[in-house]
Amino acid sequence: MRLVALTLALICFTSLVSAHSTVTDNWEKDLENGYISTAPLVTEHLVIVRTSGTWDGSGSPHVFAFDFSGEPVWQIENPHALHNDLSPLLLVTKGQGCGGTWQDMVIIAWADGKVQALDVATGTEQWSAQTEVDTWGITGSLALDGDLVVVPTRQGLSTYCLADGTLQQRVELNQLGWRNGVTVSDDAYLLGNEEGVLNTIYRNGTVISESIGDGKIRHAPLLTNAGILIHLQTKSASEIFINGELFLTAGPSPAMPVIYNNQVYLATSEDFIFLDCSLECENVGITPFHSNGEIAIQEFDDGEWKVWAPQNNPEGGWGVFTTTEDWMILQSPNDDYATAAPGFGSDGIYVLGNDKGILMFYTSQHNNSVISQGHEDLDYIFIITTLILLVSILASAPAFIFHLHEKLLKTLLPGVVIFMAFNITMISTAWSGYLSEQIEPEGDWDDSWSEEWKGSQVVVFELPEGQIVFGGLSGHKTVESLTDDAAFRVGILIEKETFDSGEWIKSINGHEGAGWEFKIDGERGLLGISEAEVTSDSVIRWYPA
Amino acid sequence: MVLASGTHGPLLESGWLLAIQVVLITTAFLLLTKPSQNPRREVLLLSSIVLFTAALRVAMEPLPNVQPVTMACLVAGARLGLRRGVAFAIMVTLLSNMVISDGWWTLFQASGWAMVAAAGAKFLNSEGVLNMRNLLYLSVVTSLLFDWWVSLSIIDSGTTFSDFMLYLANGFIFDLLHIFATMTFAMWLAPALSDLISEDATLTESVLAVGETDVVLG
Repeated sequence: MRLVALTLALICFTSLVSAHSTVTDNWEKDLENGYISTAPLVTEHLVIVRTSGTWDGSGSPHVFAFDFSGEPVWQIENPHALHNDLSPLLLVTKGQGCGGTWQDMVIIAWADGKVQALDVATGTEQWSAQTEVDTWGITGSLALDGDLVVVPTRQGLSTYCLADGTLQQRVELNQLGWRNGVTVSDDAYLLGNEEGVLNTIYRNGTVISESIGDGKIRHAPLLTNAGILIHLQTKSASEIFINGELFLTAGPSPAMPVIYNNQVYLATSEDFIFLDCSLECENVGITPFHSNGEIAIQEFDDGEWKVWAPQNNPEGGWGVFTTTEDWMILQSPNDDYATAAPGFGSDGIYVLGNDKGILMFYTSQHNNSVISQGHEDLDYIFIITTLILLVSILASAPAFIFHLHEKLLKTLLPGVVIFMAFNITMISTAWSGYLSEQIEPEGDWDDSWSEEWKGSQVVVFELPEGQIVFGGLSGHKTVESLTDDAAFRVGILIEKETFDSGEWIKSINGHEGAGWEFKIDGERGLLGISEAEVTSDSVIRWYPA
Repeated sequence: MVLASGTHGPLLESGWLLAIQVVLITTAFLLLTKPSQNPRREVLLLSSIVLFTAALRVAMEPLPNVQPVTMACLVAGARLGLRRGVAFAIMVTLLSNMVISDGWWTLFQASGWAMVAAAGAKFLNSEGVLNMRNLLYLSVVTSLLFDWWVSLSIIDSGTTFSDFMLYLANGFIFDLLHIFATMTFAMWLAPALSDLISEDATLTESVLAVGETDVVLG
């Protein structure tokens, strides 16, 4: 009898332990619905994440809610949403004010201009509102202003009561916005746009517009002790302005900067930038890193913090920065391009989502593989071949002095050949880059394309069944990365093969034919796709050979 | 032009590829079918240097556009004469491309190296001694011209003149590497290869003299 009781007790204990472990286990889900390009929200019990949709007609954008064991709780979709669903989800805790009371809500802004408030626990719609659409609607980050939600719309700004969605304020602006988040200050709302104009919208409806520069403002302006900080995206680089004054020139395709404890964190396709804005802003340091999306702060109980930035290249992963010297790349088993910041929960929970649409839930006990970054990897081949070249030059020096031409060539040439042969990619890429600078490309813009794509990267696939075009991309430096991104977004399958001269496309969407060639801005591509470079407004055209 | 070396030239159906190979093999065969005093020895000599050069080319294949065949064709043309030099070039191309990659470009490579061998026969074969100065000059000129010739294989209906010029300009670094590599092979290997062929030819002649005497005596 005692044995039976002991066995039952053991079974109960085991089931309790396993029940507990399902809560804290790590899990991952392929949402199979396009990108995850905004940070997942982590509430007390749920992970809420939005996906972009696939744009090939097979899946419209969704918002999913899972519990901490990975079980789906609710989901909604918007079959009318358009491209570039980039507006981060906004969590609102329960309260009362304008319009009455409200429960814990998640507010979703869609690219078709719709604003939707859902009950966090059930996904039930509490209210919704419609804003204007010009090609698309809302793509920037919303903000809270007391009992109002502030919505940066396509060509203006609207505020709604949190309780019932009643429109409180509406301001029309002259410029179109994209990914233009709004910032709430003590007396106004700050909003940028695609024409590099910073609009200060006072609560009484007064608007003051200030042109920052020739570029695009694609983030919520930051309020620092030194003034308003704008990271302006220019044609081939970016510029950081503080109170309208140029502070720093940086790399292309800036990420969305954040400020925490007077420290400002910014990123581009080239660098991660640290500014200390305790009094005046000061450039603390720059670390080579490629990030174009969201940046997030992870706070710890002891008051310390870390900064996370998704790495937007094929290697993927997330850069985790403490200082310019102390940082690492956290890898996941599904690494790919990443643009969404992580979502952080209590007890060390963190949730990652990448451009493959894979959601990953981790507890603090889990150790992802990490690549420590203290310095750039040494290029041993370059060092060794340079040494060989130097030795051959030194060895041929006596022959040169004594005019022994045959001996000179005999000792010098092997060193030159070895150096060139092993560094040919680097040398020929530099040479091609030099040639490209000398040649003005004829361009490959089609006037029937959306004006919004101007200044962005565009890819054209000339498939036997018709032409497929995708634009509005940014941050890519090579034909390979840009093509992969566009193909993924439109649901085209790319098959590659590798040669000495780099990777080449073998088939596009199953069409192999006599091979595929590409043009960059109307000029035929001459390098492998991993070496051929693109600019911030390149048009890549793939056509059958 | 490395891009033409099997990466991006037009793909051919197997029938066309076979036709190109038949044409090249027939050409080599016709060039070699001439009266010879010691055909066995000649076949042995030619086979061994063809095999050696093809193997060297395959071994050097990971190094882009480092082509020992160009130097070998110059020396073979100089030492073996026009007909056998051209046949040598064709056979080396066919054999090595069987391992590396075969295609439309094989025709251009074989004809290109055949022209290199012809240049060797024309400009290097003076008084039975390999002229190193001329060999170096020819290494520069023929490497560059060979690359340009092979680059013609990428031309298709969509290629404009400016496209092609841009293609050549982009490939200049690869051309430069080909030139330096051929000069290096010329400095280090050409004298030995030339001596090997000359020695064998001398040996063949002396063996033949004995044989003829034997016949006369018999």
